[in-house]
Amino acid sequence: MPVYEHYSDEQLAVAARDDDNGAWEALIRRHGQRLLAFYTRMSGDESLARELWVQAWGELWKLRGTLAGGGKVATAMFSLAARTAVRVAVTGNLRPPQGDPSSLEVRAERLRQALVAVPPRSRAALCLCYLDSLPYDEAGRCLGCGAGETKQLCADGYVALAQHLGPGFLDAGLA
Amino acid sequence: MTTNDALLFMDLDRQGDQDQGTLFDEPRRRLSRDPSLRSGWAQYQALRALAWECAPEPGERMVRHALQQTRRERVQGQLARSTGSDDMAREILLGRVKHRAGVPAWIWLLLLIASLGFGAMAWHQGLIGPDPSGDAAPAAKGGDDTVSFEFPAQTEPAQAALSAPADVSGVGAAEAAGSEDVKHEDSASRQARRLLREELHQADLRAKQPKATPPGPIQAPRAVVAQRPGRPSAAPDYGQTTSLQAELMAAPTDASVQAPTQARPVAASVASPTKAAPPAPMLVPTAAPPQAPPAASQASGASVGQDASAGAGPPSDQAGMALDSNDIVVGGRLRATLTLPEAKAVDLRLFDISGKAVLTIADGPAGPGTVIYAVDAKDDNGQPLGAGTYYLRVMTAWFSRVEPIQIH
Repeated sequence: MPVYEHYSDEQLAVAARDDDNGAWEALIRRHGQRLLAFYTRMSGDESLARELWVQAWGELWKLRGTLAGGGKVATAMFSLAARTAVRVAVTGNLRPPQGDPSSLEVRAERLRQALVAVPPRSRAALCLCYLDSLPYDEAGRCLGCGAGETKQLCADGYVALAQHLGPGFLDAGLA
Repeated sequence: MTTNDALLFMDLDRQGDQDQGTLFDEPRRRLSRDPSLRSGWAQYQALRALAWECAPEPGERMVRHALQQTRRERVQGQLARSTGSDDMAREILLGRVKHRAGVPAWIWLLLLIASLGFGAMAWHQGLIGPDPSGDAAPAAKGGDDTVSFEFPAQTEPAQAALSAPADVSGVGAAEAAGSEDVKHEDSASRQARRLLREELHQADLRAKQPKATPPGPIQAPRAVVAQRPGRPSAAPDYGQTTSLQAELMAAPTDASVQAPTQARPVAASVASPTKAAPPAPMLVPTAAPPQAPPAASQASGASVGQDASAGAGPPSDQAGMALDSNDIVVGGRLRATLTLPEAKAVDLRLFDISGKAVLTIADGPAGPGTVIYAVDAKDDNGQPLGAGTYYLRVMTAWFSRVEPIQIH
């Protein structure tokens, strides 16, 4: 029984190309949270994000040959997710959540609503570069643009996000 | 907050990833000088921390769903490769593929059962059997309109007679179970007809090639190809033989006869006439005055008379055979009249129901004219023929014929 945690993404992708279910499961566990967070931020709906997440792994299974050919798993994963998320992006319910404004749940819901209000491409760039710490060039590949445009999209998204959150959103808590 | 401030935060955020030396010195100084930027930087970091804090995590159930989705994609891929269409594979997985319109399976099953029943009935009636044409002589193989004919039934006396060598002992074995022969007369008689047809067919072939095949001992063929009545024939016309075969095949069957259980090739069991001893009870036909009565009986109980002038026989279309009676009592006499246009070989034999030649009445040249054969109902060994059904076969250059003889 191989210890998949010690393998790199490329090694797991090669094993998955050869129909190694264990390697594929290890890839899912390794990158699953990042992908689900991205879908949640992009869609603003956790249930929709989970559904998209499951479908995304089915689509990625078809691309496992490409992954094994040298492509980065994270890049391929977020490329697919960005295309899907931009296509299915919803505006969501922008009604402010009720409850204690300083609670984590209320602040998370407000952040989610603010993200949904950001334009999709800027939102995608913001999620990839700012929240998920992807390099600009890789994020650019995911979005189909260059690194400079990605940086600009990310900055525009951050400004829009800060405006939707309003001043003092993070003053009370984490800041 | 402006876009420039956001870009400043992002550049500073990437500092840890890209050590660019003094490139970030000025932004860092700006951030330290401007208090508004310091609070913005703090919020920038806090916002990311909050985003990760509230990020959902996939549970085990979701992982299982993802793996299930993976398996689904795998199966769909295989289906797509098999069907050549992704849409078709998807429809198959979703269960939306319509069943192919066609005959339901139960109809096919019903037809199969009916076919098997018909086949079994035809088998019992002897209409079908193994194809013997593969062993038939090349000349006997006809076109597509000839059908194979196999004699299926083998009763115990018939088997004994067929398996025994073609000598007197075989005849005795067959006669030993005479009562069984009567019981299974139908199946045995079919075998006799089959044997007779074989020899008749060979005789016809010899008659058509008189020079190439001089008259000699009759070699029984290993199989026979019978002509189905009522169908156009591309095979040679055998004249009376064909009509006789049709007549024999149309003979009524006894419903009480047990169903045949096996088919058996006849060739190995044919009583070869070549081994028959010279016809002891038969006299060589001699010329007799016209309208002369049959010759007197000889010591052996056989006699023959001829009613024709040498070299001036009747026309060939008048050739034939006539029996005084088909019913003879045990120990009685059999009387047959042959009309022969020319003096040629005549083969006149009596067969029992198992197909054995029990009495050779004539085997040599005879005619021209009317030749009358009168023999006692005894076999070649001089033993009286028992009660039962026999067949008198005559083969000449002009005709061949088989007449049933009933001995009471």
